[in-house]
Amino acid sequence: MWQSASRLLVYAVLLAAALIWQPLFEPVLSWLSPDVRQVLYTRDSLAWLLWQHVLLVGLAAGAACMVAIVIAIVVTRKRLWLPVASQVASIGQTFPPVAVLVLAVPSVGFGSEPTLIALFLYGLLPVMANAIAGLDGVEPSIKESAKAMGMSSRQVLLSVELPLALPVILAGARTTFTFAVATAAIGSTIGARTLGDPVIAGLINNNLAFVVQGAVVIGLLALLVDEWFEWLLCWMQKKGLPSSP
Amino acid sequence: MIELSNVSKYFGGACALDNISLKVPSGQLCVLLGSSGCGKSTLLRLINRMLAFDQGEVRVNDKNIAQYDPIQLRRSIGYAIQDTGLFPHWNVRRNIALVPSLLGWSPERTEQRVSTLLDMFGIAEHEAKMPHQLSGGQAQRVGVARALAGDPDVLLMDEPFAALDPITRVSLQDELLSIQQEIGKTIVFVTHDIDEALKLADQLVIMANGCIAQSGSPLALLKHPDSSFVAEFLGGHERGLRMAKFTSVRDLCSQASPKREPFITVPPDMSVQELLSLMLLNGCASAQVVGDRPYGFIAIEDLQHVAKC
Repeated sequence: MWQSASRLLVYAVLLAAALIWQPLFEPVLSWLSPDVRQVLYTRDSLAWLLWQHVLLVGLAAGAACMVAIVIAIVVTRKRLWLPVASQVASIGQTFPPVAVLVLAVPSVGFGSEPTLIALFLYGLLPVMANAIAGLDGVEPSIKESAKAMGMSSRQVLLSVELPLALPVILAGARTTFTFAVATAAIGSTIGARTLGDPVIAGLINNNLAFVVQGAVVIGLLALLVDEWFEWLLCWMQKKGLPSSP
Repeated sequence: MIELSNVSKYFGGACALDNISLKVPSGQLCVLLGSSGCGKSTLLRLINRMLAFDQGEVRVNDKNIAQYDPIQLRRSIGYAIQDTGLFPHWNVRRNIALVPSLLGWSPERTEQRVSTLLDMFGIAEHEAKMPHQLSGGQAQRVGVARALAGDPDVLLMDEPFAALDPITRVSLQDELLSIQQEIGKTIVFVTHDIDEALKLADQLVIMANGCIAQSGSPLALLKHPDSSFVAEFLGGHERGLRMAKFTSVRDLCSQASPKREPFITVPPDMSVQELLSLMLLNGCASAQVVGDRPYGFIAIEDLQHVAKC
């Protein structure tokens, strides 16, 4: 747990350093792209782009997690649709995120909305697959005895099934959030304002320094998010909640 | 009191329980014995409405269970199963407190009740542990304590000791018997272990193919099986040895000193089954019975009276 917390701290410090002391890295960036006039990305502040990026990811992935868990709860109760839901969840994940992004453009136009929709749809699937597996994986004898002790279906769900499925659900949420951090950057190609902006600008203008500035911050953000989930799982284990099976 | 009248249950077209009538008086421990698939667990699960039945009537404490709200009914009936069904994310104390908290008891009353049960089952030192930290025997004690937590009149137990090693199983059986002496619940206990059934039962019900083959006291069934099925089920030729377990040497010994040497010395409350085993082990045909005073002697010829005891 302390190892995870210390890694978390290191990533946070690195991310803050990249944002605050961006000008200090100018010599390194000039060495990367000796031919270009401007090596520092200054069209927008990296901090503002980070904020936009986090907002987009938080909204889309957060909503995706909530909707996916609700769907998983419904299909594990009304089992008629369970096979369909698990199949969609597994097949959907083989779909490349860029394709989802591009498909969203014709329906809502350019900007943040198609990115939001694409991230939401793509984020649904890992959480849904894991939530179904987690809820379905709760030992039948435990559910049986919960019911026989006189718990209502609602109490069984809230006090037994969801807490026991939580580690598996969190593993799905981890995938969703980490992927969303990476995928949101591609949103810049269709007009969303994200940390992908410097990367795209760099690619168009053949400016490696721009690409590096965007990519480093995206990478650090992804590491930070991933490590936060790691820390959360460690913390839950310490609190005595069951680890993932 | 539990009363089943003409209860039938079908799974699809197959008849799982066929016109069962059974009465378990208050404070009695009724054991349902049978091989797997005979319907004993199905019968048990009808009583707390975990399963619905197709015909007949079940009454608990003189009230038809159809008139209860199923959730209220289950809260008023204890339930212990082979897999314990303990919640792995709750510690021992919280697991036991489940039914009291569902019943809305005050925290003080719940605390007190849980502490009483922890002491009763000798698991107070494990109260803060999680279920995966417990041995099989400890987990099952917690399971039974949890079943008793709401102070139910009726307790249903579905092969609770079947997964335990023989030594732990016997000690849990002994504990159950001594606790039952104290609390006098109406218990329905399902098992496929004949010795466990004979040991625990006030009333023994032997089931086969969804019907009751015979019911009565263990000794009555051993002495007078109605059918060859029951006789076979209770051990065939070894039925006599099981019967000998119900008689103590005190009841058979006489003052006449043995005609033969050597003899062994046994306590008066030893069962005739054990005596016979000791005779076989020691190669002798007679024994002296000595307790707080000398009781007399017992010879192998005296064992023929076991059937009449």
